[in-house]
This record gives sequence, structure tokens and C-alpha cells, in this order.
Amino acid sequence: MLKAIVRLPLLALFLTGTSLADAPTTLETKIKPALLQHLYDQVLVADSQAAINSLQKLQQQLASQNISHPDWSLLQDSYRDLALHWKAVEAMYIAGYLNGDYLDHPRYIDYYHQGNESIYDQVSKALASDITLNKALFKHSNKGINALEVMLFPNQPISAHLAARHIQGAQLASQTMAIWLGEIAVFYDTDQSFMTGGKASLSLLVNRLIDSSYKLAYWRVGEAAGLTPKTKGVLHPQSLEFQHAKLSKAAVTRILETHQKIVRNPAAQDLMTVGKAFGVEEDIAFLQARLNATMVALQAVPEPFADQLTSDAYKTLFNELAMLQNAYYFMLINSLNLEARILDADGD
Amino acid sequence: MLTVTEAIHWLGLDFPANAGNRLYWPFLISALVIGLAYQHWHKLPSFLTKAIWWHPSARQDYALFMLVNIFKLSVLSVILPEIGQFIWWGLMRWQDWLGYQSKQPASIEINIAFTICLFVANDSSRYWLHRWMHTSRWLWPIHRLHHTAQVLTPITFYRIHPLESLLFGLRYGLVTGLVTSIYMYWFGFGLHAYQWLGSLVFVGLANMVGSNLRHSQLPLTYWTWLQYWLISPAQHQWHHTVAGNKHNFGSILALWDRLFGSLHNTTYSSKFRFGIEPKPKPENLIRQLLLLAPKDH
Repeated sequence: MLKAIVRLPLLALFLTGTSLADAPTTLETKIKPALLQHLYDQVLVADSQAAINSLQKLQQQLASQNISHPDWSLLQDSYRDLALHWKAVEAMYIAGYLNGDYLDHPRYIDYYHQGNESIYDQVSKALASDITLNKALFKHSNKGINALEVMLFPNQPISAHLAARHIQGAQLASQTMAIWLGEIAVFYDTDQSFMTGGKASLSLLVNRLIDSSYKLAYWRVGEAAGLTPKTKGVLHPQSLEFQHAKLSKAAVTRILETHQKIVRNPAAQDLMTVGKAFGVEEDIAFLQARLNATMVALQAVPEPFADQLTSDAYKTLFNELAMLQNAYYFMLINSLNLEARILDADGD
Repeated sequence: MLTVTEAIHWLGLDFPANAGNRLYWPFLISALVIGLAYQHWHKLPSFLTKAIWWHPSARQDYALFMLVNIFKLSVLSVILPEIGQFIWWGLMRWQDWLGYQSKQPASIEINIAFTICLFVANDSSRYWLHRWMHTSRWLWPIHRLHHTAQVLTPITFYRIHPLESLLFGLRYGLVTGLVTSIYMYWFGFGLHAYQWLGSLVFVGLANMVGSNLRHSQLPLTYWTWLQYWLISPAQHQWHHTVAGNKHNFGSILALWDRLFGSLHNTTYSSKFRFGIEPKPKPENLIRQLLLLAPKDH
């Protein structure tokens, strides 16, 4: 009798142990290569190609200008195109994680929120000087997209001599940017490691989404209005991105659109699909709802941002962006396999 | 109208079917197998007799188990945040204090470290809260209910006052929230706590090798050297005796008791008399829940 009592549970234990060991489908198997391929092609490759194409277009226009009397409007339109494509590339930039040689490329292109130097002051001073431009603009930060903004959005009226310095400076900056941006585009076009990375590849994108949502809320929106711990109630309009080109709002919009392409896209090759397979569908749906709400809040803020820093609509936008970051955090937290409720924990 | 399934859930009778608790059926079966084998080996009296399992104290355990489960589902589930909120709160604090940290994907090594940290932090905080419940004049009346058990069965694990359930729930939330938020602050997607049969892997292992025997009449001891590292069922049973309730506060690791001077080793021949009085008398459950002293005190 005792043997029977012992044998039966042992058999049940054995069956449970083996079935439980085999049962869970790993996250790796739930991430389809087609999904990674789609995100890679439609977001990373497409955006980097669009950015380098718009830069090349700008370079052609700069080369064909009468440098003393350039068509500012034409050049500024091209700059806007370039800047917004670049924001999409920067938001989801993972090349540096796939290959360490590409880690610093964004820092050589975009100096927003890097250091304390005023690129506007430095570039304006360099352009107004008599020093040759190669020497005057020797710093990397004077040849990035922020410097290009200063060069292509001068305070009018501007003398023919200074206009020529601006255009020649823009040619120099765009050449430098073309090197870095070109390398990024070629890397994305040729590297295949993302598609075979499974969970690690998706993890890179999710980490970028969280990183980007933080910077949207705290750098690109909150800081200028004194809504962050750093600026605490003091307006700081110089913190706005692309304030001379008046692209602050458009930049936020483009970054959020890039988020949407990752979270939910028409081809259903997105985080929502992964979330369904991984049991966090509700969190992704919540995330999508927050993204939509953020877009609505963004549309409610008139341009330019610099005139809206004290408005209720602007504060609402900041709150929505902060909640978007929370939504990303909750997606991560709920994908952890911890006991969901603390009620299961008892004493001893 | 309450369905039968809902009633079973509210009374906690579905615990054996649900992973993530000590009464999950594989753990019960393993305890039974190990217990029977140990009893046979040492020729000990049966720990499965009606005198134990239908003792008035055991019947109190069953009633309390169901009552506390109803309390948990109806009250604690409303007032206690979910674990995710503790983690999120921690993440926000790290972000406010230390600035935003770009997150790295979690590697296998990180996940192993995370699992170990979760286990160690939870086990040590259980030790300290448990010890505190014995030493604090405010908390002992709450914990006293657990120690008025005169016989031990696996259900005695749940013989706790609702306030104790609240305290241990808060402890779990705070500790898990703290550890997890630290890891999440540095590592993003892919962070993973290794589990087995619905519990953290170390807890699952401990459950599988007889955690349910901690509250039983079977004085199962480990080798002496092992009892310096892991709390054996007999060591916990010693804690439930009149003489031993200042010892062996640990849950799984004996390390904390050893480090802080409360470890007591036992042998299978140790004599155990459970309860808090030298001559225990049945106490009214309602009075205990109301934290009232026994009538003759």
C-alpha cells in the first residue's frame, strides 16, 4: 500500500516535471524573422535612406545657388526635410549596438542636449569672422545639423558677403554630415545581424523607444517650460530643439510617428503582434492608446512651441509624454514573469 | 449569483491547482512522498492521522485559511497596489535621483544575478519581518495567532492574521519593487526572473524538497552542516515550540539566523510541543482575530 502511495505521486511528479520543462514557448520562437525584417526595412533602412537622400538633395541645391543671393526658402524647405528624416533615424538608432564602430555617429551629427556650449553663438561668431571657414568651423559641433540650422536660418536682412559665408559653411557642414549619415545608411543596408538577433534585436528597439520617450518628455518638451526637475519652474526656451527653424513641434511629431511604426503598423509586423504572443497584448494596446492620446495633445499645441511654454495645452502635452514613458515601463514590467499580485506572498 | 467555481476561488480551495503558492499540487505531492519515505526510514509515527488533521487547532487553520482568503480578495486586493506599481514607483525614484539611464538588454548573467538578488532580498526581508513580529510588542499580538497552533499541517502556513498578510504583502511589494526597479533602471527588455512551477526557481526548489513539511508533525532534519545553510522542517517546527520561538526565524536560508544569532539546530529526535503556553488550551479564533488576550489572562 505504501509503495503504491509513493509510486503514483512520483509518476505524476515525473510527468509534471517533464511537461513543464517542455511546455513554455520561448520568446525567441515568438519573434518571427519576418517581423524583424519588416521593422528593419520599413523603419531603420527606409528612414536612413530618406535622410541621406534629403541631405544629398540639399547638397545639390547648395551647390547650385548664387551664394551671395541664395534662395533661402528653398534651402530651408530642404533642411526641414532632412532634419525630420534625421529625427526618425536618431530616435531608433541601433547601429551602434549592432556594431560598436557606429556608436558615436549620432553624436557627430546632432549636438542637441550635448554639453553647455551655444552652437548658435559659436557658429554665428565663426561666420561673421574673417577666418577661413575650415578653420573657423573646426569643431565637430560646428558642422552638425544644429550648426546647419544656424547657417540656413539667418536673421534677415543679411549682407551678400555674410550670405556667402553661410552657404559655404552649410556646404562644409553638409559634407561632414554626409560622411556620418552615409555610413549609417550603408551599414543598415548591408548589415544583417538584426534579423538573426531574435529577442536581442527587439530589445534594442524597445530600449530605444523608452529612451526616446524619456527625451521627448524631458528634453524636447518639459525642460523649456520648466516642467522637469532640472529646470524646476524656470522657463528655458533655448532648450527647444530646432527653435530657429521652428521645427520643435514637427520633430516631436516625427519621432512619435516613428514610435507608431514600431508599436502598430498596417502590416501587423509590430510590437502588438509580439505582445499578443507574449501575453502582454493589453499593455501594448494601452501603449497604443497613450500614443494616440499624445498625438492628440500634440496637435492641440499651436506652433511655435516657444510661444506656448506656459499654456495648459503644452503642460498637457508634457504630461501625456511622461505617461507614454510610463506606458513603456509598464509594458516592460508586465512582461517580467514575477508574481503579478503581492497577495500570493505570505508569512512563515 | 456566486458560481461554484467562484466560491472555490474565494475560499482558496483552488490553491492546489494554481502555480505560485506553496500548496500547488506538485509541492503537496513531493512533501507527501518525502514525508512518507522519511517516516518509514526513521520508523516515526504517522503524520497523517486524523488526530492531527482533524485536531481543533487544524480545524481553526482551515477556517482561517478560507476567511483570510476572502479578506485578501475583497479588501487587500483593493488597498494593496499591484507589484508592477511598486516597481514603477522605484523606477521613477531612480530616474528622479540619478537621472535617466539608457537601458541595456539583459544578458543571461544579468538575469541569473537578478534571480539571485530577488531571492536573497526576499528571504532576508522575510527573516527580519518575522523576527520583528516576535520582538515588537505591537506586532507580536498579530503574529501570536500563528503560534497558537497546537498541531502543524501545511495549512498552518496560512494561519495568519489578516494584518500579518498585509504586512508580508507590503514587504514583498517593497522588496521586489526595490530590487526589480534597480535592475530595470539599468537593463530593459529581456530582464527575466527564472521560475520553476510558478515560483522563483529557488523557492520552487525549496517547495519541491519539502517546504510543506515545515508545518507538519514530521520532524524532518537535514544533515547538521546543511542546517547551518538551510532551515530544515524540524528547525521551523522548533520555532513553533514553547521553548524555541526566539530561534529559527528564517524561511529558506539559515544564513540570517546564523549571522544574527538566532539559529538553533535540531535532530529528528527533538521533542516538540507546539504552541505558546506550556499547557496549551484551545483559544477562541474570533478573540484572536480581534487581537484580544485569552480569557484567563
